[in-house]
Amino acid sequence: MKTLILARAVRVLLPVFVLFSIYIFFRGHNLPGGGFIAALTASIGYILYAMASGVSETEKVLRIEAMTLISSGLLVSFASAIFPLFVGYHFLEGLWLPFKIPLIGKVGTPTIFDLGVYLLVVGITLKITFSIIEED
Amino acid sequence: MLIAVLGGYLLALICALFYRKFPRLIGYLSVVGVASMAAYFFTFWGSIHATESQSFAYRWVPSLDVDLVFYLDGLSLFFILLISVFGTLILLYTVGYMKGNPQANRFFAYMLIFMASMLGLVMSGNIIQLYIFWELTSISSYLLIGFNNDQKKARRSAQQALLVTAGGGLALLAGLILISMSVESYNMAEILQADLSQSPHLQAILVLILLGAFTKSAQFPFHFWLPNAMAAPTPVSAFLHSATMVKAGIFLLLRFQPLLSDIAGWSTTLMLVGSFTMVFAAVLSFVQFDIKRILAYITVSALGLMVAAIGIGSDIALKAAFLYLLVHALYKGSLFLVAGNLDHESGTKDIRKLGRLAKKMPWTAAAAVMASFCMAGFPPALGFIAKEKLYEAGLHAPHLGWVVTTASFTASALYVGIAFIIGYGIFFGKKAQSPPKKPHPAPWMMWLPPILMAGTGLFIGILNGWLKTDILNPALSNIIGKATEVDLKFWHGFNWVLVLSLVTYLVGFGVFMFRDKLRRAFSFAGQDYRIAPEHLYFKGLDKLTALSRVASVFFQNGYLRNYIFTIFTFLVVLVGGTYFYMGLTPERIETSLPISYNRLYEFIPLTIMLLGIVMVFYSRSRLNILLSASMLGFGVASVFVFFSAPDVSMTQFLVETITVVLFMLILNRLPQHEAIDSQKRRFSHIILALLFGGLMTLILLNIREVPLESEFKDFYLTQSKPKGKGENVVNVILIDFRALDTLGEITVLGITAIGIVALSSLNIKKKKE
Repeated sequence: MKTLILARAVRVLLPVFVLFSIYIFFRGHNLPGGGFIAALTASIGYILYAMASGVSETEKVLRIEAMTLISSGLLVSFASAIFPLFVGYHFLEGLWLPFKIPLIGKVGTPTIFDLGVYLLVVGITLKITFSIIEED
Repeated sequence: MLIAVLGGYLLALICALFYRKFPRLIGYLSVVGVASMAAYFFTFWGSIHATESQSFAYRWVPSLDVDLVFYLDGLSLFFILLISVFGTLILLYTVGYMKGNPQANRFFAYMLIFMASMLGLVMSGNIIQLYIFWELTSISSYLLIGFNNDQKKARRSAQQALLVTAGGGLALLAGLILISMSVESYNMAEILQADLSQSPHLQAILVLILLGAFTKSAQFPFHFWLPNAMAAPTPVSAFLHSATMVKAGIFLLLRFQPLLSDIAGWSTTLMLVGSFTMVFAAVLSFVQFDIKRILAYITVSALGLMVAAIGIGSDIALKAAFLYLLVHALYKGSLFLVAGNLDHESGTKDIRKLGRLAKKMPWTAAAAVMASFCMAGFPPALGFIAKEKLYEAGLHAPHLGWVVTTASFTASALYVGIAFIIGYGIFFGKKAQSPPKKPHPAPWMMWLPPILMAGTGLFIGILNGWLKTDILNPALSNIIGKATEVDLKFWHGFNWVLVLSLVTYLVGFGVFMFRDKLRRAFSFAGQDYRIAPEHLYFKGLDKLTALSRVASVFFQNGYLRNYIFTIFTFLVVLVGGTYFYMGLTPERIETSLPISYNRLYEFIPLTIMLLGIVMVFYSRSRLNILLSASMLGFGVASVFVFFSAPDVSMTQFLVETITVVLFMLILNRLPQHEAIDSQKRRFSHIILALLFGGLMTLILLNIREVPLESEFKDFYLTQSKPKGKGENVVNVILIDFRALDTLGEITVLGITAIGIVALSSLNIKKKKE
């Protein structure tokens, strides 16, 4: 399915997909969005890229191995869950910075947890897609 | 106390990680580590008298009220010292034995894991703990037997040992739970004080506990795993399969003896099984030529001897069992190490190829001679005292005494014969064939431990004062249940017991002199019979594999449509069954559609969905079916928009998109689409689809009747902002209120990814071939 038009278009669209997914990620706290949806958005971008230009090209653009994304996602989530234990709170208790960061809003351990979800979901969708496409 | 018991696991980790870098240093470190554990346990020496006990409790799972309790009384102290001292000696031996083996780090780690588990087992202060450590010893034994995992025989033997002992462990668990149900306590100290006689499960408890003990201590018909376990490196045979692990069953019997010995059948079962095993294994031992197998069968036989003595149950019989346990550990541990030296230095374990080795391996020979002396039960060895006690117990037993006496006489005579073969034949006698390697003397760390063990067995009977008062007395008192004195006298006057002993020596010597003829006469015993327990074991294993193959071919037949059919059938039967069993029919079925004319636009996605369904039916190609089905998915996603669930809708849209894309990618690889041709199958699919759809509709109708208000909803809606700092309730639930669920889900996703990687790499491999 290598068509020139799609390949060019996706190359331009990919940053938009990623940017949009980051936007969805941060708006998730107050408006529809969040880590899972954002991750799906981003991975659709990469899947399109992989369909247009092949897996190896996409892996170059992605720079990080899908499996690394998965494991680091798990690690980030677990770390955010365990972190409160070290400062005298309960497991998974939400801790928040006392001030808002411009453009992003409030940041706390749930945000980091969500980031882990984001990384893991991107990783796993891409891993599945890549392994399917690669078999050809 | 906690560090002393669990320190073994830490040492194991250190060995596993660093042994390869500093082999000598870590090897000796483990020896020193275990020695210091032993030293720590020696500080309890003399602090436990008669029937006293000490408990060391640590909070473990406070929310379930489960504590880690270490229970220390005479019996466990005896075992602890046995394990830690033997552990030290055998690890020292291992340093020499494993020199240059590239996998030695693994070996040291397993040995230490086993030792720590064994310590935990004998000190268990609650019975769940007892079970956990029991199975841990089985698992470490499995790893050690299978240590040479490139050999099929080792793998098979390891699997066999694990299945038999861990299977027995399950029976033990059931027995322990029944005990704790009757006594209403998990605590060992409380259980041992309790009275079981009112329990309704007495017979079940007896059978289950005995199953556990018999499998672990290799009693007939579960004996076959132990000789096969000789596939393990020699230090393992010496440590696990003669001195400690196989004694766990004996430990269990001794531990529960005060509690269970009044149950009908206890005494008879133990005496008969023990006596039979004792003779049977001694004969089998005699017809072997592999020195490790000879020793293994003697171990089985000796374990039978202890079981039979425990079965008699009188004070003197328990003393005999207990002393024999110590004696056997000493001489057998030593003999196994001797066998290891022979194998290591001359390259063979066949006694026909070994002879006149005394000059070439003087220290090893000394150890072998002393240990054989002890095994044969000549005075002044401790073996003599143990044997005398056993004869005395047998002669005075209230019932079935003659069985035990005859059995122990036969077995002891064979021990004497075999002791001559090992102690004299190998080191001073002639050999029939020459060994593959020119024999060398063993290094010091390989002859010192067996000498120490055998020497202790030989001379401890004489120097027994301190041993007696501080260790043997409290241990025995615990077993018998009242303060008891051990008498280690050699001379009881001229009586029947002594006559029996003398005859034993004579017969044993005769066995040695006519060994070749007798071996031929008994060769039938060593053959593989169709009704032999081991044969049945393998047959059962084969049948099990065949059964699972049939089952997986039936269920996992590679047709997605069949999987879905099975899953939906079960769903319909289970959910539908429950549904009507509970009488949950909807009370009110709305007949009129809830149409409001200002929301007519809601019909647009509905129409699209219906169109999709119809198209699915009439499509002839997979691509069309897929696209039509996705119309349904996107339709559902847009319906959510109308019911103010934008999050769900967004997610659904994205998931639907990715699913369609993935499906398109797979389509290429699928075989040509074929419509279901058989009329019958078509019909059954339609019926199932209707049933499933009908069930779903019913459930939805029911859900409508459940009031939508709930306190959870209010909680989430009101608390989202103040506690979760976010206005998007869905997201706050996902990543804050119910983050634990999410954490579990993403973990599962991660594991799935690993599975997918494994599967796809499997496919690539197939293609290359």
